[in-house]
This record gives sequence, C-alpha cells and structure tokens, in this order.
Amino acid sequence: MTVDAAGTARTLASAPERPPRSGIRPRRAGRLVPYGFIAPFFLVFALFGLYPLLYTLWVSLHRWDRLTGDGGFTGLANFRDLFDDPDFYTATFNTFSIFLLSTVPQLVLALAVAWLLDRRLRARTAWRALVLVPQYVSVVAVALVFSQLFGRDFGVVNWVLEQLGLIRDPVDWTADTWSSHLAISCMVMWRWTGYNALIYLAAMQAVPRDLYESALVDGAGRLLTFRRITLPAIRPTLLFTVVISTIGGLQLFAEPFLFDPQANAEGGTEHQFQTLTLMLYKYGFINNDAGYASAISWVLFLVIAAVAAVNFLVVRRLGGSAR
Amino acid sequence: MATITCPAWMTGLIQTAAGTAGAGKWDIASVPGGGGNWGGSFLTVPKQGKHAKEAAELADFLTSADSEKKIFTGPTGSLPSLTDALSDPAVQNTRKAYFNDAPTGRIFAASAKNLRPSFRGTKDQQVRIPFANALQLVEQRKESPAAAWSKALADAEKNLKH
Repeated sequence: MTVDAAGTARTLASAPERPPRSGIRPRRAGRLVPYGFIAPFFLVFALFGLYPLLYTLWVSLHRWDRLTGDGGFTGLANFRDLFDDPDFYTATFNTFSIFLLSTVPQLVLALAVAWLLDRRLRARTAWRALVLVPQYVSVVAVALVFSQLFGRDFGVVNWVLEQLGLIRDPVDWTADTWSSHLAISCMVMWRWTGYNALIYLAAMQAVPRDLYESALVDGAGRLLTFRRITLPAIRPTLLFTVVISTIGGLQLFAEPFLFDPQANAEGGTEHQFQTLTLMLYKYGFINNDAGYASAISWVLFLVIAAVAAVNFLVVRRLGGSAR
Repeated sequence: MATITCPAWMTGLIQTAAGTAGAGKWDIASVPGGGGNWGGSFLTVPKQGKHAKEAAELADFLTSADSEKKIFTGPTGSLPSLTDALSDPAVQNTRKAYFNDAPTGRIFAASAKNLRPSFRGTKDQQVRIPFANALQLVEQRKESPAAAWSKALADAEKNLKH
C-alpha cells in the first residue's frame, strides 16, 4: 500500500541519521520521525474517513439516485425535506429512547457485576472469562435468537410472563413503541454488560486496598465503602464507558434491523423502532436515494458530534473535580 | 373464518399439516377479481453435469402433459404449466374430497387461463413495503382498514419522492 510505503520509507531513511541519546538536540530529520510513525493512520483516515465524509456532503446537496447517479444540484432541498419528515423525528426519538433504555440499566448492572467479581471468589478467572462470553457471539446471531425469544406466538418471554400471571394476552413485541424498545434494549444489554463490567473491574482493582482497610477499621459497611471509596475512585472509567456506550448506542443498527422479521429497515409498521441508522439504510439501500441518505448521515454525524461535545464537557468538569 | 391464499401446491401442504381431523373443514374458492401469480419454478440442466442427457430427459418427462396431469391429480396437487394439460378433462374434472369436494381442477385452470401478467417497475419494492405495513397495521389492530389504506398510499407516494 502506498500509504504504508511512504510512512515506512521516511522512517527508514531517517533512522540512521538519528543522533545518539546524549543530550544533543535531534536534527530536523530526526524530529520528523514521530510524524512518520503516525502518518499511516492519518493517510488512511484521509482516504477512508475524511474523503467519504466530504463526498457524502457533496452528494447530500444533489438529487442522486444510487443506480443512475447524479441527478443535478438541489442545494439544501434534501435537508429541508428531512426536517419536514415526521419519520426523522420518530427515528431520533427511537434512537435516544433505545440508547437510554439500554445504557442506563446496563451500566448499573455492570457496576454490580464488577463489584461482585472484585471479591475473593472461587474460580475467579473463570467467572471473569464467562462474563465476556456474550461479546464473542455474532451480533446477528444475538438479534435472531432474541427475536425468537420475543416472538408473539411462540416466544419464551411471553410464555414466562404468562406463567407468572403478569400478562393475560401474549405481547406483540414488535407492534408497539415501548415493547419493541424494551426488547431491543435487552439485546444490547446482554451483549455489553459483561464488557463494561470487566472495564469497571480493572478500574476497581487499581483502587488502593489500604483505603478499604482503613474504612473497615473505621467501621464502614460494604455499601458505604462502595459509595464513598469505589465509586469516586473509578469515576474517570465511568465516564469513559458512558462515552463509548453513547457512540455505540447512537449508531445502533443490526439489532433493530433484524428484530423485524421483514428486515426491510422500516423498523416496524409505524417506524416504532426505526433508529437513525436504520432510516439511513432504508433511503440509501432500499429506496436508492443516495442524496437523501447522505443528508441523514450528515445530520446523524452532527448529532453524534454534539453529544460527544456534551460528553467532553461533562468529562472535563467531573473528571477535574475528582482529582 | 380462517383463510389462506392457496396456490394449487398448497392443497397438499394443508392436507399434511391439518391431518385427517381437518378433512371436510376446508373449502376452496377463487378470490374476487381473479387470482394472481408471484414467481414460478423452472427445471434447469447444467451443461457441466455428468448425466446432462438423462437429466434433460427427466426434465422433459416431468414437464410432459401426462406427468403434469398426474402430479395435479396426485397428493402434491401442483398446477400444470402446459395450457393443453389445463383443458384436459382429467384436470378439469378433478375434485378434492378433503376440501369439501371442491372442483379444484376448474377453479385453478380458470385462474391460470385468466391470468394477466402484471407489470413490476423499478420502484416496485419502495411502493410494495407501505402496503405490507398497512396490512400488518390492521392485523395489529392499530388502524382501521380504510385509514391503513390511505396511509399506505401516502407512504408509497413519499417513497417515490425519496
């Protein structure tokens, strides 16, 4: 690949010129070495990240069929239609609703699991490895299995709820907003809780043990110790997981796509579980309207950027006060 | 009343699935406005096969008027593809005892003969999805048939725009 070749070539050429580590200021070529090392990433990013980003913006300003190509410049017409489209607001609501429904319980649960794993347990390594098992399973398999569990007629979830006497009639999980969001959130939670638990566990192990010991001596209980010592100590990690979950949650695609037996990216009869990426897929790859799909992807990009900025501010504020 | 769209080959499936207990409880009628067609089957003989000649002969045998008649009157019930076979008395006079003695021969042959090929445009998929959604909306009891119909029209219109 030319990208790698350029980066490597520069690095190799300048390597012999590198002065010995003796306090003499490195010469100009030597100072370029680090840039040579990081150049491959930026070149690849420019090719596969930045260029598509800008090209998408260009396409979004056109009437552009995916099969017949450029149909003429239309300015902001695609964006205007998008903001007039009620489906866009439904998809935005769904995206945030599923994100919140899956992320908040997931992180709380992960915290609890990490707290349990942080103790002296028999076969500790085995438990820790098992927690990560859902991550090994292909997301498609997860979505298909969960769609069957949440089936209306023969689903296990309905059967259990009926046995417990919680429902009289079987729930048609894909039919309503709340039920479909709940089912999809379950998939996300099942897949990611263990992953976050392990990250929390790693952070918890870094908390100095003498803090716990002195708390114990002072007569603090388990819960109090957790609240006053563990939680503040792992706050930066908490924020990290929130950021990662936010990015993943706003781009949720495979789960809602495969939850629908039709798999036509409609997200249900009334788009009740159509996320923004699902809507993007519908217009891009079913309706073949590349212009409209590009407009959606740019709005999605801006939404994620805005949420990331909020995250950044929160991280800076909370992370700063923790120290 | 439970109904199901019933191509000729479905008769065999229904009979197997519903079992002897379902005998006489089903009947077959043509739909208002006439039947339709969605797909079909073909027999292909790859050139590279070891026994291409024999395979071609088998395909010939299976698609001969005689065989098609036998298949239709047998347990599978698949409809003959040859128009000659359709008007054959053996096919025309076929009745299914299991389905209340329905005159399946006359019903299916008439439906095949009256079939008009339907046009499928390049935007077929975009337009079809809203109608599937509308049917499901009615099934989910979220819309009345009339409201679902107008929603399907509006959504199809919208899908043609973007």
